[in-house]
Amino acid sequence: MTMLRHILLTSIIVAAVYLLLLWVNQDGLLQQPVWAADQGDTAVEQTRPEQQEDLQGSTVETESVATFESITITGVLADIDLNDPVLSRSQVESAWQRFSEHQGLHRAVSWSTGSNIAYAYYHHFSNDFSTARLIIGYQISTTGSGLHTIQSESGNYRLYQLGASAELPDDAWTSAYPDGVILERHRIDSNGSVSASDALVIQ
Amino acid sequence: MDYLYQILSDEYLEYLHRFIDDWGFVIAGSILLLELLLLGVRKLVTKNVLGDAVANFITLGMFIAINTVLIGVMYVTLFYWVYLNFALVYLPSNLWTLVACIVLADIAYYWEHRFVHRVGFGWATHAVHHSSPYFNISVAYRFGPLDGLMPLPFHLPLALLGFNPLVIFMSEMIVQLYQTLLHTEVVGKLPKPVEAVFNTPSHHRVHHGSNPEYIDKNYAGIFIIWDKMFGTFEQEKAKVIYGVTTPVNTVNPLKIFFFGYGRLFKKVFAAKSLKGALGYLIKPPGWHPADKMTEG
Repeated sequence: MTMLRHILLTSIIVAAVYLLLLWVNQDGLLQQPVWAADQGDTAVEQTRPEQQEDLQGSTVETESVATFESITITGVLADIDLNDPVLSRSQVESAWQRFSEHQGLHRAVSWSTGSNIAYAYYHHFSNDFSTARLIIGYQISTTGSGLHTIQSESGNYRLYQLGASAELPDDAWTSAYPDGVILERHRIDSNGSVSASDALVIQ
Repeated sequence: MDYLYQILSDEYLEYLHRFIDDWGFVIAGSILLLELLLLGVRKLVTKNVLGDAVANFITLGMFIAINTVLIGVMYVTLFYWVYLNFALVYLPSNLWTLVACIVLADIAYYWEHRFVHRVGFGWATHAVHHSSPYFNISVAYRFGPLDGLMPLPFHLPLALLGFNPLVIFMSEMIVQLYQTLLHTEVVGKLPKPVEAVFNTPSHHRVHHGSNPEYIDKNYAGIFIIWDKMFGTFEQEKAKVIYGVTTPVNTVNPLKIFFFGYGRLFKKVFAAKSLKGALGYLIKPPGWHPADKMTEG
């Protein structure tokens, strides 16, 4: 009888903690697990979200569809919660912050032309479009603390030109659902200033 | 409060796990050196004390070898299989989830710990940890052969509830690491509010005692409240006598590592009936088919 009481009490405690956790996380429950990228076995530093200069353009134009080959991107990795716009924005900003602070990554590319293209590759969208993975980096293969490498998908992409502070329209995002990817390209100089941006959304 | 919802990537969880584990070992090692220094000042460092400490770390090495080769892959695979196929929901890996998992892992640990004390087959491996006649940080690293297997049935339900296995493993590690730092005599009783809620060096000294009033008490990992709830709490009053009721009297790490199963199987094979043999495996230590108390 005592053991039965103990089992009951344990079950009540476990249920209480679990239900409280479900309530706290009600907006973030997943329908499938979000997995780590297979490439790279190094630690990822996670920083608090900070104010980050908006890197996206103010004018968006839709170009025709073109074929793009797969490229190797090495950079910093982040999980993005797409359900909460405020949270996702801070997660993206945090990732850009980590990218900008990763001196090893910037030293791994040549700055002889004065600028390089930084890629922000959104991939691994969950089935319910609640989460995605983002890697921000350069088209290089290198290793280092906090870096991951991924092969972008080859295929037909629709090109969106981005002006000074615009974002991709919602239909561009949802066209990436559920199996798609989005590849942003930002031309940056050695001071970190962005001179041009566009986005490729796989069709 | 947004940071509490921030997703912790699998890579970050693995990095954090290694970071906490490694630094926990460094801190524990530093406390051990301090303990030995204090013993040295009091001229209490003997060959047996040092030999016991060395043996403790050798049992740790043997435990890691067994875990890595025999248990580790199966353990991890089973957690992921349950998580991927049977999880009720998939909980996001954020700080809220990690904290809740630590609490649930702690209550799971309480029952796992009570199990290995009260079931012959479990006690045979856990007795190794209790067999040291001393009480210092090195004793925390004194492991038995199957200690890595015992958490499995008690923590696997967490994968069913939807916790990322990496979050579960980190929670298990935190519960273990917390207790590592409790294995010391240099800390007396802590302030009453702390002693009331948390497991402390004082509470854990009681747990390691072979004094009759201390046997099978204070099973807690982090929170002593589980012992108070389930009637297994005992306050530290009399001086603790460490070790098991029938001492092992050796610093040979191989003899220490296998003494529990050695004694158990000796009893099992000497049993006159199948019922008696099974009884030794599943009944509490000290149980005997005849009407006689034996060693535990």
